[in-house]
Amino acid sequence: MNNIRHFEIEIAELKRSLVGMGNLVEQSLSAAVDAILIPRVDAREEARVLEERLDSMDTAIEERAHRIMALQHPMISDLRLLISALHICSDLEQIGDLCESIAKRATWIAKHSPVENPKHLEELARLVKEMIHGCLEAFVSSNTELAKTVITQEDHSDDLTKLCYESIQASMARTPEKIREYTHLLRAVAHLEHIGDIAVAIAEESVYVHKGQMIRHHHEDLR
Amino acid sequence: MSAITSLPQTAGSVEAMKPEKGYISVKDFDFWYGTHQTLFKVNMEMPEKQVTAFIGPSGCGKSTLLRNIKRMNDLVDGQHHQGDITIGNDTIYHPHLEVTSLRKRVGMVFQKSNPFPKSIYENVVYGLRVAGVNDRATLDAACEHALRSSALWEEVKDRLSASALGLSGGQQQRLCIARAIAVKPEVLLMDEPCSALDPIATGKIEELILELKKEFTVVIVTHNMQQAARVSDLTAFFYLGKLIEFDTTLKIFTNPSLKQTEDYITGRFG
Repeated sequence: MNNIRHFEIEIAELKRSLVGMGNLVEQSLSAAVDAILIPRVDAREEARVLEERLDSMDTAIEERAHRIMALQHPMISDLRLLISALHICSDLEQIGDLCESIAKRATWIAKHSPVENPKHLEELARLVKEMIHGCLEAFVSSNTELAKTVITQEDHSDDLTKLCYESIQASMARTPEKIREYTHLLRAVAHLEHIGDIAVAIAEESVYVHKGQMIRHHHEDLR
Repeated sequence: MSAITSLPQTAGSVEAMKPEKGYISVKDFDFWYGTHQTLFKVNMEMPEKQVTAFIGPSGCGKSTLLRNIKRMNDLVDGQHHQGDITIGNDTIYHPHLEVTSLRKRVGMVFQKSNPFPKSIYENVVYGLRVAGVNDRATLDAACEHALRSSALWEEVKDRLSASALGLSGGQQQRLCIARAIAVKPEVLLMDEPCSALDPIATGKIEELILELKKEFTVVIVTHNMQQAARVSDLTAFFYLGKLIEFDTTLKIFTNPSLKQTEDYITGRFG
């Protein structure tokens, strides 16, 4: 059974790489959230470095997954894991891009006039971080209940985003000279919401890997 | 390389449903070689004009069950069984059933191709001659139909009188399929039909199986998991003489109900 042992090692390495990439994404998200809550000029450079590391991890995981598929012909749950690994690493890479964009906007705001953060921004940021941590934890620990919890958090994230938009629009109306600053803030909020959506996609992948159920577009039963 | 002109036919797994009543029914079937029991209370329903694959580690009883569908174990010393196998409405172990007529209804292709040391033509029409058909036009038509159905006609039509032993391994196996189907059986049994073939010849046989199921009920034993997934509509997993799981091929190969099935298919045991 040497071949199987070799296969198990390859799969374990793939999972380890995904966990590593997930940890880096959480770090990148924390930095981006901190930067948008208290804008600072060096945020962009810090995010760029993390984003580059995520890009190379994405490539390495994709290459490893393709190699396993081509040489080992995985089946059933192994095949599901590999398909999902490809989706998840692409999702994580996208989160890295969004974090970099948030940091870029934070840097721009820091270099210009300060803005008043929406009352619910901090709560939204905390929720999105929790969703990302939750979906990654669900994937690693085969916890489909946790994955379903993340999926149900999407509505709350949407509500908070809406409240942030309303608050930013009110600020724009009050201080039209800061329209550009608030536009950047608005975009950063949109990115945070998008990251929450990606957390939901990863949670769905987690359910697919561990249960073989495709629940994308079928969340009704979870609510 | 020739251009792909049409989409390959699917194995039909997506549409396949596990039937309540099959064309071949196995009911509470036990089988012994002497005192050694090799099959334990097997129950399964294999649908008409679909492909059912038997998978499982060596010695799990899949070939024994396959051979029983044609009553090929009858001559083995000390063999006995309990339970029933029916094809259509006929119980194959019924005391009044003529074994010869059963064997006409059930064709068999073996792991190693076994053409007779005769011409290609005589190999194909062998079963018909044994059945008393001697009319040349009838034999010619049957030969061409069987060779066309086994995707061999174009390759051999100009050398039908040449020795079958001069054909390649893959061609010999397709010739054996032609010989089996020339007598128009209802059921075609295949015991690892591609295990001695290269990937090209294997591909041809697999394509052929998808065509053959339009006319025949096919049961195939294979150790090649990808092959079972590609060609069959239903898959039965056997272990130590017991039918462990039997379901649509899509279900067995994407999300089987039992961990034991998944562990076997993914190579973790067996």
